[in-house]
Order: sequence, then structure tokens, then C-alpha cells
Amino acid sequence: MQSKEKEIIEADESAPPILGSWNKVYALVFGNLIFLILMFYLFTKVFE
Amino acid sequence: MLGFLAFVVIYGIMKTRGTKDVDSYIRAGRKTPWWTITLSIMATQASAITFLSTPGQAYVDGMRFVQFYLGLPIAMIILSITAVPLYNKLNVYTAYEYLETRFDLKNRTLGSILFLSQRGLAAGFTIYAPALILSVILGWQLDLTILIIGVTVILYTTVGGTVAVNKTHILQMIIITVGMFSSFIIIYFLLPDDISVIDAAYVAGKLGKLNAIDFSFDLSNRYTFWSGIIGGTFLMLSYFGTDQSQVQRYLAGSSIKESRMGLLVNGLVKVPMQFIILFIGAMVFVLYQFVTPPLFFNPVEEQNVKNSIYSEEYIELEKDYDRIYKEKQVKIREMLGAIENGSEIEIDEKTNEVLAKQEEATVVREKAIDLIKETNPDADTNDTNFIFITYITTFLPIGLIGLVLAAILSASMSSTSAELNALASTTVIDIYKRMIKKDASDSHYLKVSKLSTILWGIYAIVFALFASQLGSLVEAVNILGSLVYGTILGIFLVAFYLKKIGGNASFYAALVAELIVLYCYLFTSIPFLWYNVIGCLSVIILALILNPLLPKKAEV
Repeated sequence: MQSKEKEIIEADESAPPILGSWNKVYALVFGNLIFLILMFYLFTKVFE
Repeated sequence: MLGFLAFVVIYGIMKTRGTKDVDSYIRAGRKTPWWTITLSIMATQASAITFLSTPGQAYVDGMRFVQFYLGLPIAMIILSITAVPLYNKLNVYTAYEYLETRFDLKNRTLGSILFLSQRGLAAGFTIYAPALILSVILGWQLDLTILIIGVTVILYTTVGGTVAVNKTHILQMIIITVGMFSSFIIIYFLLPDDISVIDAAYVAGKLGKLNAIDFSFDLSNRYTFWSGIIGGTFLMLSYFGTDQSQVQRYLAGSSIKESRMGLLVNGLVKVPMQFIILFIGAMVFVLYQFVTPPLFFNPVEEQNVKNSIYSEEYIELEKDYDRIYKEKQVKIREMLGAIENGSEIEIDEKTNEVLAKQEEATVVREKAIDLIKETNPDADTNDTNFIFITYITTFLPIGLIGLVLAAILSASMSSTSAELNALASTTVIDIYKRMIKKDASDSHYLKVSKLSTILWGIYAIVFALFASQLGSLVEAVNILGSLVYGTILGIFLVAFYLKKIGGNASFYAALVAELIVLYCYLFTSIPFLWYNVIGCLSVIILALILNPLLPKKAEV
């Protein structure tokens, strides 16, 4: 089971519709989260 | 609004006439594009109570609730890497089917029964909660409102299954978005002429309503950056990875790519969307700084006290409240003048004066709530859910009121349809087809799926109809959710990440974990939200302990 699941995950090579690789899409989602947190923090501080 | 309801039913049925087999009915034939998956995931999560109570929460408590969603994008990434390819390649119809592939039948059955017991009651609550608020504010008959929402959802969900749920979700999300943006834009036209958008933001900020991020590490504070990132990630992993009402949305994807993109785009847009909804609530708060708000937002409770022996006392409090608000408006304008001048000392001084007035108003409101309690000891003294709908019905033009009410009903229907769809799928795939009738024809399972949708729909409506007479049952639903959610998450986390753990260890760990959670519920005073953590960690720890002691292969 363990190796089968690993194979399933690793076998998925279909490229995402944007950015060329899934790692880049994950980085975009994570980067967007960091950006939002910074923006929200600035927003909190500016109007505090 | 009624036209919209009728349109949703007709649209849902018209678009799904080709639903002729179980695969189409449960997984939409695995043809769904990513953007439909994103909208469907968002519509499923956005229940009516989200739209009714979230702006109210910002009004009362500020925007810090947005931190609750910070774990969501992280959960979307983790699920895209692990759960999506597994579910997709194993060709499962339900999340619990995966548990049999990974462990054994008893784990699958336990997971599906825990889901059915919790989500079955929650479906009733999803109908009941908005129906109650709409009936109180609009004077509609509660039973009739419940029946309209319930029957409408049953109609198109039964006929079209997942395809209908997904198609109507697109329509419902459009209405929800247009409704929320309209109510947002209207606020700016309602603010006094001398108050700009920036002024409004300063008023909200100085009065503590724009507290979107709090980096302090305080366990007693429910919403901080840390609780959002750590606790929120676990919660969202559980909800999106193990709850069939969400899993079913991305199982319908035409490929791993579509399912992943559906989840990841949700990870991009969900947090800003919640921010906007909360910002609307903060702006409603600012609007009510220039128009005296009701002393209590629930009109039924307010009317009760006005019809009681405390009527005169309550009316005096209303006059006091109005006077304080008028004085507060003067102080707010002085504070804005100080901000324009840029003198820090003057800004602090004027802000403190405004806060003092706010404190005075809070004291008067607390006295009013005491009178409400004196009038009716069982009265619900939390009026947060009534704030936004009061703003809508008081300030919006008739056409827009209809639009926003359609948005609220859309939200209620979108969550309920996904729940009925998931309940029916789990009942048929994990219970009926697996254990009762294994070798029937596809058309037989399709009929049973439709029948199951109708029966779960009736069950939800009956629960919603009786919920008003069983007040404590509503809280019981929330408690029941916490009693089982942690255990389900624990089983799935063990399945996904602890590859050496066998089916027996997982199953018995889950049973003991459930007993531990029940012990906490019956014999301790631990707040029920913590049951999620206790249940999940208990499964993981017990599975690790039991695994070497039990045989790996299950004999089922």
C-alpha cells in the first residue's frame, strides 16, 4: 500500500494550466498567503 | 426573489437531464472543470449563516475572525499534493472508500457512520438557522420558510445529483457575490457627506474594528495569527480532506489537474473574500456611528420587553442610548479633525473621548440586555446574527433587499444541497452497495441514490421544523460535530501520513479516542471545541501505541 500510494503521487506529471509546474503554483498560493498577511498587518497598523 | 428560487430549480433540472448513471449522479461523470470546482467548494462552505453572522461578527468583535481562514491555503496545498492524486487514481466515490483501500472495511464503515451521524443533523441546522433569522426579521412563517428552502433543494438535488449541485452553485455564487458587493457599495452612499472612505476606515480602526492581524501568542484568545495558522490548518485539512460534502466537489474533477486547480484557486481567493465580508461588517459599524443603531438588533426580543412591565425602563434606556450616540458623533468628527491635523497627542486625546462614549453606550446596552433577560430568562441575548440583516432591511432599496435575500437563500441552498448530495452518496456507496446489496444494476443504485437524497432531505426538514421546539438541540448539533470530527480527522491523518500503521490499530485507536472524547463531554468541563484536538491526537497516539501489539491485516 505504502509504495503503491507513493507511486500514484509521483506518477502524476500532468502540468498545471499556468506557471509550468505544480511547485510553482503551490509557491504562488503560499506567497499570496504571505502577501495577504503582510497587507492585513499593514492595514491593521495604519488605521489603528 | 421567488423568481430566482424558481429559476434555480428549473436551471438545476434543465442542465442535468442527462444524469442516467451513478457515476454522473455522484461524481458528475468526472467531467467538472476547475473553475466550477472552485465555485462549488466556496458555495458549499458559504452557508447562509456565514453571510448573516460574519459581518455582524466584525461589527461586534472586529475583523480578527479573518485569521481563522489563514490555514486554508496551506491545507489546500497539502491536500493537492496528497489527497487529490490518491482519491483520483484510486477512483473512489467517497472519501471513506479510500479508508477501505488503505486499511479495511471496518475503518471505512466507522468513518462513514461518524460522517452520516454528524452531517445528517447539520443539514437540518443549515436550513433552520437562516430560516429562523429571516422569519424573525421579515415576519415570514418559520415552518413555511423551512419548507420552501428544503423542498427547493430536494427537488434539484434529487433530479440532478452532483451535476445539479455544481451547476446551481455557479449561479448561487454569482448571486452571493453580486449581493454582497451591492450591500458594500451602498454603505458609501449612506455615509454622511463629510465622511470619506478613508475617514470611515479611521473610525473603524480607532474603535478596534480593523484588527485583522494579531501576532500575540495567547491561548485564551480564540483568533490570533497563530491559532489561525496552526489550528486553522488542521481544521481545514479535516473539513476539505475528510468531509464528503467537500471531497465530493473535487472528486467530480475531470482530472487530477482540474481537482487540484479547483482547490488551489480556492486557496487564493477564500481569504480575501472573507476579508471583504468582514470589512463590510466594519463599515456597517461605521454607518451605525452616524445613525443610532437599535439598542438590541433582535426585534422579537425587543418587542417582548416593550410589551412587558419593563417597557418604560427600556424606552428610557433607548433615549439614553440615542443621546450618547449623538454626543459620540461630535467626538468622532473631532477625532477625524485631529487625524487630519496630525497631532499625535490630540489624536490620542480625542480617540479616548470617543472610546469613553462607546463604553457609556455599552453600559446602557448591557442594562437593556438585563431587562430582556428579566422579561424572558430563555431569551437569546446574542443579537450578532441580526445586525447585517437589520442593515439590509433598514437601508437598502427594495430591489436590492430582494437581491441580498436571494443571496442569503442561495447560500442556504448551496450548503444544504452539497450536504444532501454527500449524505446520499455515502449512504449508497459505503453502506448500501458495500454491505446490503452488492451486485445490483447501475440503474438500481441510481434509484436508491435518488431515494436516499429525498429521505435525507425529509430528515433535514423534519429536524429543522422541530429544532425551534428543542432549543438545546441546536447546541447539541454543534457539540455532536465536535464529538466526532476529531476522530475522523485522526483516522485520515493516520491513513495519509503514518504508512506503517495497520487497519486494526487505526480502528481500535479511533474507538478508544471516541470513548475519551465522550468521557471529556460527560465528566469534564473542557470546552467542546477542544474535543477536535483531543479526538485527533488520541487516534494518532493510540494508533502508534497499538500498532506493534495488533496484527496488521484485518479479518473482515
